[in-house]
Amino acid sequence: MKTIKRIFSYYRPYLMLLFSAFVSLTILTVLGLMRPKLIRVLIDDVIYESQINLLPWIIAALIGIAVGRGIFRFVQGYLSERIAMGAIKDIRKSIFSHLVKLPYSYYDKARTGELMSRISSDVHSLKHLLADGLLELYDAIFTFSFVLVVLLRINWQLTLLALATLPFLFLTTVKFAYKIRPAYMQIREQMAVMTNSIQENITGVRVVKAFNTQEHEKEKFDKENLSYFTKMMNAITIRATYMPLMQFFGGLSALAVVWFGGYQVILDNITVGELAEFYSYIFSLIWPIRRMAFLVNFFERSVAAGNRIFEVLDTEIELKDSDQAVSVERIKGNIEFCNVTFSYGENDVLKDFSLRIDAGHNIGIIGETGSGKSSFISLISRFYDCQSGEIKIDDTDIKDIKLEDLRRDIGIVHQDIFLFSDTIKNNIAFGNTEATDEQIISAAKIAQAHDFIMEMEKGYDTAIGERGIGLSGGQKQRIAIARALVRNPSILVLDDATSSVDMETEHQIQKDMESVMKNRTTIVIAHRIASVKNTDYIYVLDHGEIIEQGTHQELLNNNGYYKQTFDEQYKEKDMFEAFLDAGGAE
Amino acid sequence: MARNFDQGENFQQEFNKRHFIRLLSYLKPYTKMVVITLVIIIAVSMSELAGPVLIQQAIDNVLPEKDMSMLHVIGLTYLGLRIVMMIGAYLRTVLLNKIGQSIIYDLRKQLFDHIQRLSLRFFDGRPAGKIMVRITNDVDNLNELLTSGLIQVINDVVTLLMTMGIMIIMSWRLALFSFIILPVLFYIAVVLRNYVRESWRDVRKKRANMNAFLQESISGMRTIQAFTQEGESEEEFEEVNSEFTESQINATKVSLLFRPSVEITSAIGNCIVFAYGAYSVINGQISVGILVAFINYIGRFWEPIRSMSNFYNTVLVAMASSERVFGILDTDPEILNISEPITMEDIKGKVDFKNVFFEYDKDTPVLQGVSFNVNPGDTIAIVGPTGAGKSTIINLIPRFYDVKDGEVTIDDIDVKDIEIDCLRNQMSIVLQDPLIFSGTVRDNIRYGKLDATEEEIITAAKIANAHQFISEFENGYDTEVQERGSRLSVGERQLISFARAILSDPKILILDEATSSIDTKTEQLMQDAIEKVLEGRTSFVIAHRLSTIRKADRILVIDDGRIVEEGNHEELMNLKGMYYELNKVQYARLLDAVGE
Repeated sequence: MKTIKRIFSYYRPYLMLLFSAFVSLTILTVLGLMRPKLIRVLIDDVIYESQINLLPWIIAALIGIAVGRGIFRFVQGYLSERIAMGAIKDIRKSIFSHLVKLPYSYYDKARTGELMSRISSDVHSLKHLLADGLLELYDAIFTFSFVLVVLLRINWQLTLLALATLPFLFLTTVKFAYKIRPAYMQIREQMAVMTNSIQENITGVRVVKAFNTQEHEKEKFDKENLSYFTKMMNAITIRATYMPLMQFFGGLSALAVVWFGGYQVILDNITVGELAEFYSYIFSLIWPIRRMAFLVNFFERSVAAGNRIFEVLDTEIELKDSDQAVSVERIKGNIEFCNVTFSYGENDVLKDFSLRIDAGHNIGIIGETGSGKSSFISLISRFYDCQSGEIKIDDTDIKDIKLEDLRRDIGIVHQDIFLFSDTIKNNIAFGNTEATDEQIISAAKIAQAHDFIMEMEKGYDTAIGERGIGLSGGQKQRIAIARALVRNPSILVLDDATSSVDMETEHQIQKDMESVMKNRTTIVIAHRIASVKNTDYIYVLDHGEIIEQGTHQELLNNNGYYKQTFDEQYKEKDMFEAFLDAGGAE
Repeated sequence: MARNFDQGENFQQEFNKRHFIRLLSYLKPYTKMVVITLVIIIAVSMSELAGPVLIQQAIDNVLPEKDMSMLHVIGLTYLGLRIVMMIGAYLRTVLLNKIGQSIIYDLRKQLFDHIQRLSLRFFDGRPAGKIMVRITNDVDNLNELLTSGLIQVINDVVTLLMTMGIMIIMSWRLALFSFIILPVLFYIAVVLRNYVRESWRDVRKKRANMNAFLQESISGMRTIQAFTQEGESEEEFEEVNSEFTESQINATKVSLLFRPSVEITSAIGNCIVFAYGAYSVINGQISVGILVAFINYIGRFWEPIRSMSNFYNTVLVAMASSERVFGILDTDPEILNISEPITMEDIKGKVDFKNVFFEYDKDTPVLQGVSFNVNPGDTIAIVGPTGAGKSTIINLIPRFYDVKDGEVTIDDIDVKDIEIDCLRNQMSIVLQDPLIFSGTVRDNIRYGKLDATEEEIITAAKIANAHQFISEFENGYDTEVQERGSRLSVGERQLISFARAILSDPKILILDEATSSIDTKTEQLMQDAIEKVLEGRTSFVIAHRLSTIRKADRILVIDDGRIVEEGNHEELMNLKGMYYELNKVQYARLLDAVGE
């Protein structure tokens, strides 16, 4: 009930329109319910009594009713659509506004597909509730009561008889609505499974052919295909059983009216016209019952959909500006971690972690997967809050800096790069919507992206992503670097940003970046020694702790983990030297 | 961001008689069922149409005569008809759908099986999504045409004609007057509805836009937040949200105009019947019962007309789908067994290329006269710049493609003459991008040999150095891996796919950049595993790590589709040609990186 109330609270801006919709609907229904009366007059008075002079009036009335209904149907339909679409537009808007505020930790767990289904299909079923649910319920009750009174006044015995089968109709319909839903759900799920198996088969065609497992694949698919068939037939059987049954119960009422009504006519208790009128009204007694039975189920589903939506809306935004957060004009780039401990869940990813980076310095961080490198940089932008300790930028706790100001001056190239389905130009300018073409091109040049972009037919206007061309991993990384540079950040973070770029290009990027790195704090995270060796100072991370630090040369002399990694990565050097010595050298 | 893309494919296509007849042939296996269904459909329609006749009888004969027993006869008949309708409707739904779903099943199976036979050339440059839609949506569209479309339309035509027939029998004059509105209804159904459909198409497009934007925003939310573009995104969303809302309201408006036009037309039809009917009744030309029955029948004109006009639309949609589905079914697999292929139970592993030419697209030669000989058990490394033709060479060994000219032989037999199953069963390929199927880790390894025992699987995993990390999983080999192996790191995926290759115990092993995208640590594990496995098999290795290449028995240097150098590491270094240069460049880079 609370959910229903909350859903209906979205009607608030449209109360006047809603009231008008109800009025229109009432007129629409009443006009429709006048038709059987006219038929009675036509039969009893015009035909049996030969009052032909009434005929033009009846015709005029019938056409008037049709026109009136047309007008009010339009008004009512338009109003309820306007209201519902307006309300769900508001709902969607508030969901989206909420989504952009939810922190990284939310997206670590959330699944895109599931969120999408909440926003598209759940909101859609709310739309039906808002547009039709309430009005239909009203219409069903109104019509039923209205017709019931009219019928009781014509002949109460006949009315009771007609009502006799309706409880069965109601129960059957309710049962049907509850049975068919899960059946359709199963079909949808099976469709997803089957689609997935086709997708795997097609994307894996090389493996399928290499291992010669076509027969196995066919069998696998046949199983899913057959299961889909079975589930489909199951749902159809439910429908095939209940629909005719529902029609039968409805038909039984009509039959009772004709049978017993005919008897009453013979007894001269009612006229033929009244019987015809009665007969026409019967359907206005049956449809509200069927409608209400479906509405029971429909309301329940809407509540479930509403709950899922409100669950998103009610997710607390744990990470937001505090009350005393201050604006910062421009971050200088001093970073300090004081005894920071951080975890995503159970295990600590950073343990009592402290370091200080001065503005303008150029830092390298190296370590294996899971050493805490990426967590470290996520904390700088305050994508997460640490459990204990303090993180300071320019000597201010980042919790006291406005999030927007903090992130504005930090440029990150993430490990897994996300580019939008848009032109290359807009992707680079994503970090800075005011960037000029020159700035974009110069950033692309530094990132060594300009040349391959220019080789494309449409250059910077080339669309990429889902509907555009596909880029290689290295190309994506270079565009992401350009995107970060265009922001002109005071802190530039490169998280394994050149892993897919070949060595030569990486070297070129490093060389060209030197000039832009001068006045910024730069943090380079990598597992290749070559990527970090030119930085001012290097930290080696292992299991959330700094195990070694120093310049490249110091670390080599240190003879620890860094040196081991160096030797491993450069073992080919000796190999080269061996054969170059053996006569290869010029 | 993502927006304003059209639906990608045209939804409708001109009527194509050939395709239509071919589609009908899918009904053939179910001919008997189709006939039975049609009989039932007509029986149900007739029962429905009989209702007004009974009422007419009651009004005209039973009531004025006060004939109680006749009333009961009519009541009982009506009850009987209701029961017939109930049973008939059940049978109709079940049978109709059984036919339809069976055809869907058949078509999907046929398509999937056919796709399994198609050669790699078919998949090159065709996005997986496009092929998938053929098996899912297009097949549904075809069924729509055959069952709900075709059979329904037969039902509609029969019903409409029977209704008109009964009316003419009852009173041909009144019937003619009633038919006046038929053309108007047809006009509404065809012309106005088209207009309505158009406006909903716009809604679909706008909704697709909105959903695409949402989808992208959610998956890119981290980037949006990192670049503080929340406000801009909200504005953009407001825009797509409003566009969709407006288009929907607009489409609703158009649709709302449509219903009243039907209602008013029907009202006018009713009035004509009332006027002329009342006049005829008073004149004694027809009875009251007939008038009542007529009013009832007129109300039934609209449904069949509406669904008949729908049918036309279904046909157009199905034509577009049939074009695409038949397009795939008519694609012949290029790689086929010859009429009497040679079965080779035990390949020894001698591989020869004799002056091989190859191209993917016409007039863009990829291989231009490649010849080399490999003895059983040798390890061959292939090096050269990107696009030189390295992968192409190894794709020809399992006969993924056929050569344009020249010959590829295994144990001195042309691969074209070898039974394909035999050939590929004795080879394994490990690719740069490891493919993991959804299922357990065990299932994924077993893929290399479907009847492998548990022991064999574990042994293979051990050799591949994958056993260690698999055992560390909570569920070990029973760990479920999600689609595309998303729970595993690239390195782990590669080790599993390597275990898969080892399990199949190939005579010829091909490693295509297998160690290129994995981290240093996994690379060591993999390298170690590779050395164990190369023993006693012919192997081809494409790699850029020198250590792997150096140990090869022979190195082929490929450039521009030709072998430019050939020999072992020392020989090639002494040659001071391309291989030497490639090494020198790498060395220079290395020195530069080390800082010396």
